[in-house]
Amino acid sequence: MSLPVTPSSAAMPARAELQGGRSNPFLLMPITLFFALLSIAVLRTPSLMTASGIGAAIIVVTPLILATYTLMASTISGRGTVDLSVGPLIGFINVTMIQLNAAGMLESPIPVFLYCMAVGAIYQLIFALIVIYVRVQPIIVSLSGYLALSGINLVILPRPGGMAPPFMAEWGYGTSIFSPVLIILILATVAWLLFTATAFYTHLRLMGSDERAAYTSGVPITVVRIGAHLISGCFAGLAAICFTALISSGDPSQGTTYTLIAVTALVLGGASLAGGRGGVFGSALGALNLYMITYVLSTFNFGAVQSFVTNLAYGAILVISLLLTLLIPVIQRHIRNFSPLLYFVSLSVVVLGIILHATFDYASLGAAPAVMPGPMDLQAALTGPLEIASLDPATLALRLEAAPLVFFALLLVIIAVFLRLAVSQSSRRSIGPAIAVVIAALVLGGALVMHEGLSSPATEAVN
Amino acid sequence: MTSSVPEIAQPAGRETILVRGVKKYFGPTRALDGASFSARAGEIHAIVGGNGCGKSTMAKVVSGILPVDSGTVSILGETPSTPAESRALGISTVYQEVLVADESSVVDNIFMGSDRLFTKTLSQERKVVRAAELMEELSGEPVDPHALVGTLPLGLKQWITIARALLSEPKILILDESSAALDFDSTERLFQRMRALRDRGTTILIVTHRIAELVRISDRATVFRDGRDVGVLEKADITEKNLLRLMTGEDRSSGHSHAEAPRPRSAELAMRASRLAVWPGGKTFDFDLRRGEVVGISGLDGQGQDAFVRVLAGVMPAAQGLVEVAGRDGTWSPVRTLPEAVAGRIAYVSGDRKREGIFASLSIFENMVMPLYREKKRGGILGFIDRGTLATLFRREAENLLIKFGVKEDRITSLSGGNQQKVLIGRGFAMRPDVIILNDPARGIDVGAKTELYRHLRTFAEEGKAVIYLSSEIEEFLGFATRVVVFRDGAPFDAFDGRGLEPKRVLEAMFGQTGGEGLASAVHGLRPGVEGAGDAAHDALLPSAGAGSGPRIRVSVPDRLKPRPVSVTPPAPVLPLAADPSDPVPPRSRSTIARPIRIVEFGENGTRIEGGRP
Amino acid sequence: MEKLPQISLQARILGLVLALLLAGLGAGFGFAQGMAVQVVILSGVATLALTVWAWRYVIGQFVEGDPTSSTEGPGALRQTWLAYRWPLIGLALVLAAFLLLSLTIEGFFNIWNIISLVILLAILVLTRTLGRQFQQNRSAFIGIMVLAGLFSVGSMNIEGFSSGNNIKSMLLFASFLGIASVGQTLVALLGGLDLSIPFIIGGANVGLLYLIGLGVPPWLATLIVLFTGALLGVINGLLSYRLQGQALIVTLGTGFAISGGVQIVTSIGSAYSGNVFGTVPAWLSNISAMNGTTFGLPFPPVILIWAVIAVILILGLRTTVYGRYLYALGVNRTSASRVMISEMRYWVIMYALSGFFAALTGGLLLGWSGGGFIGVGDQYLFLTLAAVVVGGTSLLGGAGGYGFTVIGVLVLQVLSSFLVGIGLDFKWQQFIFGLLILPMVALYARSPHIRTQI
Repeated sequence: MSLPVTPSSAAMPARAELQGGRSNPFLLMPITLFFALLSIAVLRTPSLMTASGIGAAIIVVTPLILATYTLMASTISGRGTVDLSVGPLIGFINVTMIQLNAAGMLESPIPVFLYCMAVGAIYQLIFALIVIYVRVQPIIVSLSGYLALSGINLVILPRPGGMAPPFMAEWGYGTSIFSPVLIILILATVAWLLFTATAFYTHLRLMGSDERAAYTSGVPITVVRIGAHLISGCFAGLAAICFTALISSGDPSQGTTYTLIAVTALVLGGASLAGGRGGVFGSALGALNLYMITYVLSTFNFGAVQSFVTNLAYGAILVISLLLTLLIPVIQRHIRNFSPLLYFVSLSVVVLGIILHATFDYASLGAAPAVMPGPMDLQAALTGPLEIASLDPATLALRLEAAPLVFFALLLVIIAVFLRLAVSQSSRRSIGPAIAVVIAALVLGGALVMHEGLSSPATEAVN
Repeated sequence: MTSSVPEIAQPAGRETILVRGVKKYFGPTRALDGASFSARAGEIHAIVGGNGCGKSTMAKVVSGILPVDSGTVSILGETPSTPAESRALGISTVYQEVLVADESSVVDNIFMGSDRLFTKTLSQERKVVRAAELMEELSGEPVDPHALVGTLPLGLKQWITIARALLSEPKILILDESSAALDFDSTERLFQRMRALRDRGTTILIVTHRIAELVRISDRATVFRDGRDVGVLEKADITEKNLLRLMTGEDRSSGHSHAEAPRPRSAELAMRASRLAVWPGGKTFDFDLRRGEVVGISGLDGQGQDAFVRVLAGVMPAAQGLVEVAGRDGTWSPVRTLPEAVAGRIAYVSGDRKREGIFASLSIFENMVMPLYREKKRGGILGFIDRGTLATLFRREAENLLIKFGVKEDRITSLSGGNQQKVLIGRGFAMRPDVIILNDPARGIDVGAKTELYRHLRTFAEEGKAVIYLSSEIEEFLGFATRVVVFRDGAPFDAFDGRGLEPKRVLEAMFGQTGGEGLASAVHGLRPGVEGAGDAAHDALLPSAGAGSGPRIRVSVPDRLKPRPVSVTPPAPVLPLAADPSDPVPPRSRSTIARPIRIVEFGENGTRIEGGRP
Repeated sequence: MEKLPQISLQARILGLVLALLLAGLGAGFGFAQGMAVQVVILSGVATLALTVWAWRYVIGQFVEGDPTSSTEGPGALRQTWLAYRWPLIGLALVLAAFLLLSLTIEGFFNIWNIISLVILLAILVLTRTLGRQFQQNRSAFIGIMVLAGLFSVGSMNIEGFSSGNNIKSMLLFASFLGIASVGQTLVALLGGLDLSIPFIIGGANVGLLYLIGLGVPPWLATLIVLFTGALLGVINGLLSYRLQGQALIVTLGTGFAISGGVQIVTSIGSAYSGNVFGTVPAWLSNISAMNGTTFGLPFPPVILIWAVIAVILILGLRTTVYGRYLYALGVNRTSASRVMISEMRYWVIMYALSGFFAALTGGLLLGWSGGGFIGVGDQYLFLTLAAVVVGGTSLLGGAGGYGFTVIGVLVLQVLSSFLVGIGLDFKWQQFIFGLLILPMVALYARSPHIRTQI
């Protein structure tokens, strides 16, 4: 997002009274929510922080993240472009891919990738052309697309079934963290981040924020809008591939749910539905948050009404996060220079502590017998302690295997972030670097302690 | 992209813009009706005219936004049809509206449109440096180039749009009312910039209706009226008198100038305002309105007169003080909100028809009697509209105002602008008000209709009702207004008796060149508020004056209290954006001004205005 | 409003003869097909009237167009081409499609299909030429034309399409859709959208049965459900008003929450999650069942209910203060605030009505199906919107009305019956509806070009 991309150079005199604020508090909410949910999830159940837990999470959440990217790319372009047809579009690519595969026409990876992204791009191209030349509100175009694609999906594949291309067969197991799906996600994210460095992205944001300003300044708005939709289409293609990998078959009726979840994730991620603001960081966090909500809710074991509770939570969270956007101007007035990155890092350190606590302290507690709440046991749901789950040796082993990995990954991220911060904030008079140094020291100190502690429980567990 | 265009040294005097017989219609409205105009390299050329004369449309035609319906447009030998093309040609435009992308940073906004599709013309680092330099140079205060534009005050946003236009040395620079959000110092810096550019051979086109401003800066002026050019003035001929003569047309004011302004029969008050301030931290004043009066309100743009009439009508809350209206039984009730105003029988007619007047897709009938539906309903809670009664009312008002229409069920948009305005005025009258407040209603109305309107309002006043009439055209008040109040800096500056009203004196008052003697006279029902009497008022106001952002009104204060200019914040959208940049300082404190440049400019300004008259 | 063009006597006589001929032809075919005599006479009279009326307009077009085209000489042809190129291209495309179908499908080329084609072409030409005569009610005109065309094509091609039973069933389903679309129309007139309608329908459907199953008297249960619907609407209205411009997302969110909430409530203490069992009272079944009777007449009361609602709404929107103020708010909210129309009050009331009618639809659908199902309203998510849009109510607010929506509902219903008749099921209908919305919106709700907005 709008992180300080360049070091404010020396030519900028360091004066106390600079006009204007850089604050971007829109990520405040998703980051807070993310870490809150992560803590709860880790405390509630041990299975998330295992190799398979994370692997499964990635498999499930990647199509969602990519669907949110799809929405994001076109939403930034403004005019209230909320592409409601994203779900049916993913479904359309999914079912056509399955059918073509069944017909033996689409089997190897490269054609599959090309096909999916091309279909997504062509659909979005038509979308963009209609918006530009017919000048119908984008939301109507997307409604139209939603209905038409939902219908045609059922025509192509009347009921869930079929087989995914064989090379995808093992992608959906989610047993390891480093699956091809993760690579797709990382590539898509990196591609977007690289894209943000181009002038095209600047054009896109300016156009989304104020189309008339962009038009009168000579920004080629037609080309930029088409470009945004093409990117969106490519993301849709990737989302469809990951979706297919997840379910390993075709499903024509996932449309409504996916659309709603993706829109919710987008809003939750702090993007502006009016355009001009949005990014992969927020979108990914938004999608992750939704997954975490489902996950945390599932640990409460609502039994048969599980899916209803999830629906209720989705709807409520969507509305609440929309309402919270009303607070943004207030926050903006008080926090002039909010650094989402710094906030993210500070919280991640705290949560890291919680994860380590959950991982190692439980381990030393051993297999304490814990009561699983019965279906819809309101008493337990309301008063039940956060830490309830018991461990079996298998998960214990798995977790111990994964823990150092997670730990070091987080550590690496944090160190990278700190370097970046230290460089970018060096010429500014702010407490940012100081906080960075203090937190870095804490992290390294914590790492040392953990390293000491790691050896003993690990050996105990093995014994 | 302009950097790739080689600089061509243009000999002064070469014609860079040539527009011949251009017509541009928007539906039935003729924005340009055979207008021609040309501008040379190395001159500051002003396009002047009243409201709706087509000057902004012409600016848009030249900058390539609007394609013309007929006629020829040649700009540097080409006819750009999109802003991108015109930018490539070296044309930069600053539009009337402050067009910035709020969600993006200052750098991105300044360099908007300067990049190629994928690659940047400058590295981000150099852009940041350049943006910071440019903004500090222009606005006079350091601006964080990474700041989100949405967090900046309006004046700085305006500077961003200007910085965007000045980024690459333009061959043609078009400024369409671009100084609206700028204060005095800023305007002066802008003018210096413009002169420097002109000397290097740029054609500068300014579109403005601020006569003082253009008298000062422009080398040549083309006057527009009703979508046509009606005259070109060379530097020596650019005087207010000449401009006004061309802008209004000579036969314009003759229609009603012989009439006698109505006199109030009694001293009975219809409305009063005490310790009123229209802007937060603005000067406070009292105002009385007597029955039988027609009070003209005027002032340069953005001097608070607009806010004043809105406050009186209850459309906008007052920043301070209380407005009261007299009931028919003589009791006073406060006017703080629109319902209270309507209950006090105050009607408000806005001149901004499109935005806060008409209901575009509804019928003429409905547009006029809409507010009466509630009053004239039948069937209790069922709320059926009593069309019969309302039709009678409608017919009467339509006849009174001589509204020309086909069927009353036709859409209001089928009427001409003048007739639409009459419908809205009829809406005001249909509410049987005691006080009618008209906010520049004559915008875009022909002379005949205006005369009719004046007659009608006079009759209304003679019935013992009261009229408040805001207009920026002084000639409108001749033989019509009982008294004229001129606003400056958010408060009455001077007042004149309607009898023997001299437009010249009113104009001088608008520019702050009179002593404000009219205020002292109790006949005018205007008393400066106790707090507003002297510099003490400013002292008292200081704490609240410093904070916030928004349109700037310069309050002059002793240097010991505040070394820097004070920015005050009226609520943003409804208010006019700025004090008049040419002369924002009340004359009282002129002697305390430390900056020599102002005095020079006052002198220059003043002498020019004076010198222009016989 | 639109002036009737003056046409010559000969032209009038010619028109009359043509109309008689057409009516006779229709009657002949009718008898040949063995249809009921009343139907034949009725359609004959309708054909006659429609043709005479249309004739006047078509001729009027030429009479008015004459002076300009005759003076231009050789340029006239080109001008005509320029003016009518899109309908002409459309005609050519339709003809090409027909030829293609005739060549590929065995037995496609029969007399009925040719007549259908002619009717289709006639509608295209008529809507194009006559649509210009109507400034305000163009979409209604187009809607009626499409309706008439679809109905006649359907009657000719599909066995039993115009039978009493089929019409009754079409009206029955149209009633559900029509009642569900009430709220959408009202909200659209304000410039908002309500996507929570299907969820409230589903919630009411399940909730009503749940309450009845609990032993609450059915009438009380119905009242509770309707009241709850209105209450949810109030929440929607407040949120949508506060979050201007994001009504769509807000109502989608509340919709999901409502649907989840209702299911949770009905599941508590129940062994069958999400499935509710109970006996639907007989009077409720009668209201919306195909074989229901209204005061002894053989049609379900729901049709009457819809008709009454439609009449009240159409009249109410035209003749009451509330209706006119609703339009005023939709057209120009600043102007409306100057004449003291409370924007928030109208938003809340309209969304409350929307919730109320959605709940009513849910209850009526319970009577129709006899069992509670949370997903019963799902198809109304976009159908209500499609009905509003196809009818011609602008989603930007201030233009349209419930009368338009009634036409939209009927068009969608007849179209869907027609599609079912020719063997296309729900998924195809959805596909076609989707493609239909876009051109309908493009006809009258295009945004202005950016050039004009600066």
